[in-house]
Amino acid sequence: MPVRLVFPATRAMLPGMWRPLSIQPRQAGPGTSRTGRTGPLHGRAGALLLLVSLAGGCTAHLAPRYDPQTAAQIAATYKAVTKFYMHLRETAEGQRDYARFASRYDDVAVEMKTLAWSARRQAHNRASIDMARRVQADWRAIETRHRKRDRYADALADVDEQRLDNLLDDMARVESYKRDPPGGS
Amino acid sequence: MEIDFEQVFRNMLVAARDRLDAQGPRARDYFRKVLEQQKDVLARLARDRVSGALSDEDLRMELEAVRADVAAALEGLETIAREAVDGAWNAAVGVLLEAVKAAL
Repeated sequence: MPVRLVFPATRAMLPGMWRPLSIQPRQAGPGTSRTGRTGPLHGRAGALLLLVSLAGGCTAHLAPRYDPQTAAQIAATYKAVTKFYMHLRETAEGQRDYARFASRYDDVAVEMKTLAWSARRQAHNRASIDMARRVQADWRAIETRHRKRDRYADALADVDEQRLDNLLDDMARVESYKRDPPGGS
Repeated sequence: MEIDFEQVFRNMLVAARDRLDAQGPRARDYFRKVLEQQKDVLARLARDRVSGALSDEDLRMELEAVRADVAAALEGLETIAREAVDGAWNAAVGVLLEAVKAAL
């Protein structure tokens, strides 16, 4: 199993910024332990880790693995947000009192909480965890504003939905790069 | 008064770029991509504020939310100091707010 290392500065989600470093273990053969590990591999990997750590003051992190459950939950959350705003727009602006939407806020919040939980299950997954938390924080702020004002104008709905879409797009992009890192293993 | 958002956005990028000069081309390029991702949201906010669909409070609250979204998107880019990103963001949004103010 190759180990993927990623510079912290390149864990981000945009193309060209993802630089995984693959270390391929040796083929099993004479001198290989039952676990398939060899001394020289560990020595080289250790030296490489040290080199990576020292170069440019960077520290190396094990890259999070692609998680199909998180990817599926991002899609589920996107769908829940889309349904919420479709329903909102189908309701005349003058009839958008908070009580009418309270349970729908809960439905979306459940999907977002599940997304955050799914991201937390993985080690070395700080970027995804933070983005999932941001999605939740955005949603709480949107709900709080709606409850306080007891109305929700189209203009705000459009930008709020776009912002949530952008965050979920980022999360989906991160998952895609975990699965197929450009130039990676 | 109409707002020429394309010009405003170019000015925003210049303002942000100046703040990120010391961080190197990769940081500038990355911030530009993140800001461009929010371009539609920023354009909508500016136009809706100028048209009166959004209040000044709405605009400021939404911009604060976008700032936090951008910070989340930048998570993982630890080599860019958070202060530098905040400075670039403030410079970029300063341009936007000036343009809106002028158009009102």
